[in-house]
Amino acid sequence: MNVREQILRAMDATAAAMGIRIKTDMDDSVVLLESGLDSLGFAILVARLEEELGYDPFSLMDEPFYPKTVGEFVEIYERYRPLA
Amino acid sequence: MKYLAEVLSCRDPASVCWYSPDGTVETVGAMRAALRARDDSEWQGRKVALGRMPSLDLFRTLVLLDGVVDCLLFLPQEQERTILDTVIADMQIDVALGEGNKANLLAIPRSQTVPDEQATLLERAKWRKTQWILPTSGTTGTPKFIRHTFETLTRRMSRRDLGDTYIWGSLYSPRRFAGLQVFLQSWIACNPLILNDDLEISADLLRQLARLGCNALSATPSMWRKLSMCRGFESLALKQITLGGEMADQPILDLLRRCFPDARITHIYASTEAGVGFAVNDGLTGFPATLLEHSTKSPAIRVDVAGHLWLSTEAGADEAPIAASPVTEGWVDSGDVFQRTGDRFFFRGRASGTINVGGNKVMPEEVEAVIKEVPGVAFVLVKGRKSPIMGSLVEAHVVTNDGVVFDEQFTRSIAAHCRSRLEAFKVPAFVKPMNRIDLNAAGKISRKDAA
Repeated sequence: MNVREQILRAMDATAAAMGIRIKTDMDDSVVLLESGLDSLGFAILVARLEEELGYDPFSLMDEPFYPKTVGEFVEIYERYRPLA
Repeated sequence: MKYLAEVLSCRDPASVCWYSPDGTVETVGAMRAALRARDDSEWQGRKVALGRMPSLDLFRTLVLLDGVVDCLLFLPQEQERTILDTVIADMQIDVALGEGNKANLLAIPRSQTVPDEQATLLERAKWRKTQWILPTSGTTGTPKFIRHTFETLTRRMSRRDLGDTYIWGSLYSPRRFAGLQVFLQSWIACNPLILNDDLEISADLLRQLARLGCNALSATPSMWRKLSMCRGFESLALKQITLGGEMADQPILDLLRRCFPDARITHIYASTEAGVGFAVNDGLTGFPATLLEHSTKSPAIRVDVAGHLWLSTEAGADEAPIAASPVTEGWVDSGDVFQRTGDRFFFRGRASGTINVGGNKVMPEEVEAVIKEVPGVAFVLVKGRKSPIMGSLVEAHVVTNDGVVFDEQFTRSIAAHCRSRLEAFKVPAFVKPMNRIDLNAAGKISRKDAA
């Protein structure tokens, strides 16, 4: 499973755990805060991904940046992925 | 300056007090007219409780009644009706204003073209030091209240008339201490304030703020992170950026500096009990040790040997708080722990284990009590977990009774129960199994080791 698939699955799992509904057609252009996850949900998603992927890009960044779209979010995880 | 309405007499009648979300613009002239139309005798010495109402109504009410009534009690928002009724009875409140009961005060017609003949009429020969009674945040059960006055709330604020230099935007509920601070700061500096009753941060909200020329904004670090995720964030022409409610970490300060290189960035440490403890403008997290040394004013903060930050109540409430935190001789323990490294103090966490989720305080005990209601739970320990997005998240560690399987269905039943009983930010983001939870000598969960 690639990073994008893992992220999309984690989004579904986060929404399910929070008892909320999120967009089903999640493409790169979707604005994160309009996806159905609020900022608390986004924070939980990042924490969940840290457990599943073993890294948290937001804690690794030298220059802090918060993504606006799903595409940017995935790109950040791809960029900070530790070399195997 | 002794009471709020005094500011009106020195301002241009055409200047704006508030931009309302519905497009209404409230001017100084209109507020003067409202003041003149008010019958002082009807309100003098009354004890007034303020319930839920739109920001514009709340701020008009404060301006019209401060200096006239005996007290203005801010009713806590998330309390049950029966508790509020008890509070109203205990404090011997005469009038409760709020939605559905705005009394005749708020029926005063709004007009923007009122002739403004004699501003001096507003000067009151007789005025009263109105008490502002504010609930402390993050408490459960019976609310705790702190007594302030307009003077104690604004003691450490700049009183320069900055006119239209700044146009403030409000992102807090006006009834929260931080929201009140934004209102008061903009009011005494004669700056217009853009109100927002739909507190959801969104691209639409940013567009509205930009359209009205907002260049000064106050929010928690978590709210700033969320703002930065909205389209149009960088197009705000911010000159003043204020952070409060939780400790500003270095990444968010750096991000704001990069997006708004010319803005003044201030992080403020304040509490309902003591008012503003410190305000730092150097773009670095924590605070410089020089703040503990004597300056022109008496120091507002000190740090004890255990690292607890104490706030001087000189800077805040006139009287000892009607509750809560330990107070000794004019100082109140914030419960926040700081550590000195070199010439600077850095935030290390809450002594009590209180979890700050994006500016909302969560008492672990409250969440633990709710989780214990779930069948199969033997022990539970709730603690904070660091989050680069919200500062902290709530995490629950659960020991199950013998024979209970800790599976996904079990964690879901805990989450569902919590959701039905607690506000969203208090619901554990994670529920994890634990073999045992250590108790201390008093038989209580040992939070210190668990942190």
